[in-house]
Amino acid sequence: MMLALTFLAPGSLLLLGAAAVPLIIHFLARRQWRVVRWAAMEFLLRAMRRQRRRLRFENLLLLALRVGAIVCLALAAGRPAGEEDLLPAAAPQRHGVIVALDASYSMLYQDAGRSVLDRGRELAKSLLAKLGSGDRLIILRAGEFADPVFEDRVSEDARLRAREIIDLLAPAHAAMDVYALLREIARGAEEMAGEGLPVRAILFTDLQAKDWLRPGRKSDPKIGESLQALARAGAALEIFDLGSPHRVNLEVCDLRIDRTLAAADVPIIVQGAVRNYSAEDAAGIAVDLIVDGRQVQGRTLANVPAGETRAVAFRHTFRDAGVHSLGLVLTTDALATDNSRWLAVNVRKVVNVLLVDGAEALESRDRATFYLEAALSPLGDSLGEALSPFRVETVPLSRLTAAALEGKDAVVVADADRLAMAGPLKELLARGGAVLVFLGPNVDTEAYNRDLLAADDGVAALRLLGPAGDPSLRLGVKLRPKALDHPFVQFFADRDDVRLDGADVWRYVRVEAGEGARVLAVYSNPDASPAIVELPRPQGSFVLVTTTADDAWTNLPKWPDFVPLVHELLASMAAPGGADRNLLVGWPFTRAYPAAAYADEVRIRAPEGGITVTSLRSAGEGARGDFSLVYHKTDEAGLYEVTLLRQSAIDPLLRERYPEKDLFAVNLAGGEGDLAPTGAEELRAAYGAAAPRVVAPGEGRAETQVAGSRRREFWRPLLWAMALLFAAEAFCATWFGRRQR
Amino acid sequence: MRDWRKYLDPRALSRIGRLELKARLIVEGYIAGLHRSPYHGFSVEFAQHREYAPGDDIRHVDWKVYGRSDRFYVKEYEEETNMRVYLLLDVSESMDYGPPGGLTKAAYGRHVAAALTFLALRQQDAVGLTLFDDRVRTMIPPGGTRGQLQTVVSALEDVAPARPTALGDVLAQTASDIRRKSLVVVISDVFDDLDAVQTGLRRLRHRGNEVILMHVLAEDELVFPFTRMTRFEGLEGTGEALVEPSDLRKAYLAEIANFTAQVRRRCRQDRTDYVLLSTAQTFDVPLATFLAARARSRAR
Repeated sequence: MMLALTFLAPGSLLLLGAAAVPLIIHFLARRQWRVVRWAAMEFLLRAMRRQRRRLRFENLLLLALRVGAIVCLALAAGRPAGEEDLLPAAAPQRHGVIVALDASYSMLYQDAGRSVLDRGRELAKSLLAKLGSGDRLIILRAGEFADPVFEDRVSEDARLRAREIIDLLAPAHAAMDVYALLREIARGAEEMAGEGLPVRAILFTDLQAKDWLRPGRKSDPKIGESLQALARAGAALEIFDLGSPHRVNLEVCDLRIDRTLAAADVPIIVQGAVRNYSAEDAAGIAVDLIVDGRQVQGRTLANVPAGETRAVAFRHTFRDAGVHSLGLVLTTDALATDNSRWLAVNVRKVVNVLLVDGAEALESRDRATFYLEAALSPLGDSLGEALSPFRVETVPLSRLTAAALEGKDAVVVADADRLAMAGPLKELLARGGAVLVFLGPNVDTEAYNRDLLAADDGVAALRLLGPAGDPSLRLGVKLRPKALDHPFVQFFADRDDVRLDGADVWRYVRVEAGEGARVLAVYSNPDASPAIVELPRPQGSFVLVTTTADDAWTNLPKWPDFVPLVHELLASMAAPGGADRNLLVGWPFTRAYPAAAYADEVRIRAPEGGITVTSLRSAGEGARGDFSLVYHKTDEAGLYEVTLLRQSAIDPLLRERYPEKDLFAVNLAGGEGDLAPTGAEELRAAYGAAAPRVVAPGEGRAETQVAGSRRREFWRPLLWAMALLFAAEAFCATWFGRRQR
Repeated sequence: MRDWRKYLDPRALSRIGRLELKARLIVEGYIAGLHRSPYHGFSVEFAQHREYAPGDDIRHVDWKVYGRSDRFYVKEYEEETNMRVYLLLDVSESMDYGPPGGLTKAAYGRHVAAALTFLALRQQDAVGLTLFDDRVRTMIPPGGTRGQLQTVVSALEDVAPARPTALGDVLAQTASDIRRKSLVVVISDVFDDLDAVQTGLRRLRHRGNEVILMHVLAEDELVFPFTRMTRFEGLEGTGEALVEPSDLRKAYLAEIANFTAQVRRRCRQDRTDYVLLSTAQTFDVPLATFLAARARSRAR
């Protein structure tokens, strides 16, 4: 049995020197006396002879009590911890120990040549060595979830397994969910307490403030309740703060392109942002733009002030169609995980759009598609780069045939009296094409409803009721965004230079949007009539705008906002699922593929190189002949490659939208790079008595404490002993004094 | 009116230099107290009348004679002259102890001896003085003349305590030197072998003397008021000790109480008058003790 005590605050042991104070006072007092020439010496000497032994005993006793009290105080200040086995009462007691290891990626911070996580692993393993056989052990991986990765009684074999598990414990590319962790600890603690085991819960973490406190460093009620529940379960949480004292970190916190649809030879702006989470400014930060794995451009940010974000932008033109990757990469700092951010972009070739003029006018100025042509066909610049990904051809409604739709990606129908949904438009949709319909004075609502119903594939979710509003009054209503998470609506929400609600609409067709129809925008009238409606489609996309594309019912086409409105609407329709290619860690990658075109097997290559072979799972009942790929293992930030095996000929449009080599990007949720720590005092202020005990960072302190993980601290009994000794000293001194008076 | 009684307090006397004057003041203070006490007229007897003269105390006017003769006569008292008083004052080194600013035991003893001399001479007694330590240092035979007081006081003022005590031997020697029955007053701290002291006292008593032992101890010796660590250096070469006084107070006081009790018991055994005097005590106690013993001696 090891008999050594460990002191958690060894510096305080210097107080032991104070134990000499009573001795010094005693001897100093004996060196300072006054002299009295005394006559009755015989009686004094006789009294001394009689009292000598008693006096010596009393003096020694008082001295011992005083020295003992000071020694107890000094030892208590040193926070001694000893093997519990040293305590006879505790010796046969088995324990329940819950060890949680913060696996959030901030633990990958490199400090003195090793990561904080590695240090946590070592401490956790050294703790294992201290557990007694028969103790119950739970090891939790504390990431976005609290995963119990080990749960067993301690034995030599179990100890080896647990060490192996700790070594292999993978970091999560996510933050630690403290609430989930506390719940899991409480669950384990309740089980252990149910078995009559005293429970000790230990968390090795870098103790980021953002994990434990709300913005503004306020307490989180859910965490507070969980801590109290934990205390009720008899398992006070001990936190070993392993965080580096330096904590310098920059993060790529944003990466996006300026348009929904990227096309070959059409320049895009790649926008990124770098945040400095450090307490000091960062100067000369190099930022590289990586395209398809190659660094193509670089910038240097002169200064990123502490706690602030700086934007960075690159202009880039993809020359080839296909799925490309974009990355923004920072100079490596101590936490590399958040130094990059990725995008998967499906770059289209030119998007061929057929404009169908329902007015069938001879003069272009009189066509219902006049403004659409202008908006979709801006003049290109001199660098061989187009300003628009769209190539436009206009036909009258009478010439809307299958031949006209050959090679077209999208059709925009303006003010047509009817829709031939069962004809070429349906075929286009089946190929994954886009149909955008503007209504107008020529619209025959009954014919539309019949055509929509005839389509019988979801389009029936919409019914036209008839025109509303009076154009002569010019009393307009405005567009109001509705589906805030739709890329088209988001485009307007994110920008200050364009707006959706600028123009007036004084006449429109009232429609009834059935179940499944998605209203993207409404009018500002009291009943919020749908203005832009997306209809559910298994393939392809169909959007209806309930007013005109010309200036018959609205001045919208004359507003500059009309150009981005049409572009973004068509882009979101022509490149559906663009947002689905760019996910955050933990979000599932979901995509429907035409079942007939591809084999069932799919290979997915993760950023770190791991390959998963999965199968396309049948979506629904397979009535529409497509399969959904649902891939959940997106717990790693970076680019994922999806490889499908084509088993039959495939329409070029489908092939372009569903390439055999696909990519999707998974990025960090952000914020985890904020390494600002909290501490014992702040947690105590936030959570009171239920706050976890924190072993503050410091060289060797955590190691010292963990080495005694099966140990109990003795400072409290020592303080009691000190109080008792002082009380005994006071009593004895009074008692002896009274006897002598 | 002068308050004579204040001179019974040793502290009041400390501002007065001459021992003779002190003795007179002590006795006057004592007598002034007696006039208000049941002991009034205790020590004198009526002798004759004489005509009143200005300055006479009207309390001594004989009102019965006045009633018969219509003239004022005052009573004159007969003062006895047949007592021989021996004062034995211990001037050994141990008597030289006293608190800073206070009377030493020797000084207190001098005051008592001088006052008793004055009182005795006033009573027409013959007074002698013996100063001793381990032997007789000064011996003044009893005398009742006016100059006796001056002689005694001079002897008291001249002596300086320096030697150890041998009270028993001195008492034995004194017993053999006294030829006729006398009143012997011993003033000492009795820091000597008690058996020898008792033997000496017994010899004095066997020769028919009335003996008073005035046991003088310093106030500090009786209460042991010390608080700080103190190095006690014994007078008369009795050793030394470094002492935390509070540790020993109780035991010491028990020792000193035992000592005084033993002295008192041995005195009682030999019918020797015993009075314990503290140096802080007023002087009326020794004077009253003296007068009581004198009266008892005359009554025999």
